[in-house]
Amino acid sequence: MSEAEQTVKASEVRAGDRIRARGLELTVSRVEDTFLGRDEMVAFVEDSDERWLKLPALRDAEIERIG
Amino acid sequence: MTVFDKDLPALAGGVLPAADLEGRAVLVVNVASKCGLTSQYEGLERLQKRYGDRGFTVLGVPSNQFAEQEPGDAEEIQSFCRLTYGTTFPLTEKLEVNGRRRHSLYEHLIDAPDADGVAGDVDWNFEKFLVAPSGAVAARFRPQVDPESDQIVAAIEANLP
Repeated sequence: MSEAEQTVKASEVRAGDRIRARGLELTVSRVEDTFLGRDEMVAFVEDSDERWLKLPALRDAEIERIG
Repeated sequence: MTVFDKDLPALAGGVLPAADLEGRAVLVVNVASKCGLTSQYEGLERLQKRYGDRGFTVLGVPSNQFAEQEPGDAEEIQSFCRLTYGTTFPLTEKLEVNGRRRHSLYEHLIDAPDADGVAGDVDWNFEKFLVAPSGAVAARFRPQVDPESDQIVAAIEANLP
């Protein structure tokens, strides 16, 4: 992991972060506060010209913030 | 206005003619092969068998936009559905259901509210939209709603042609 990379809780991820989780990398456009009605989860959404992608995570899951 | 205003691209190649869907009750479902909800294929296929002769069809729409849980190509998706779940209902090619490249089919669908009055983006794999024979969206069910739940079965029966 480079100096720019950091492991954070999913609940600490903010819009604009570039993250890696579950083998996927995405630039977070927004964070949804629940996932399918489960308050213990959040969902990250990349909504860019290149793609729209949603990735859920438990709030206390460890996420690599890479930018 | 009808949801099925143009032919759809079929998973196996060619098109699914809009004319084949018009006048039927259609349950449109965005599907994925590697999701915790993938076993819903079983209930969807039972609905297809139960109501297929009465003017109803399931329409599966593979999409890779939810945690990339539909990564396969057309042949892999088709084989998975047929061999694992014995599906007989039609599937479109892989489509985008959210975002700037959302397919026009979903431009029509996402304006429909769910039971809580919430419209907008598709939440996750296996969200369901029931389109009435008139071509209007009759109901929207979020992914957690089982295909054979009382609410979906009642909505289908109320919208058979």
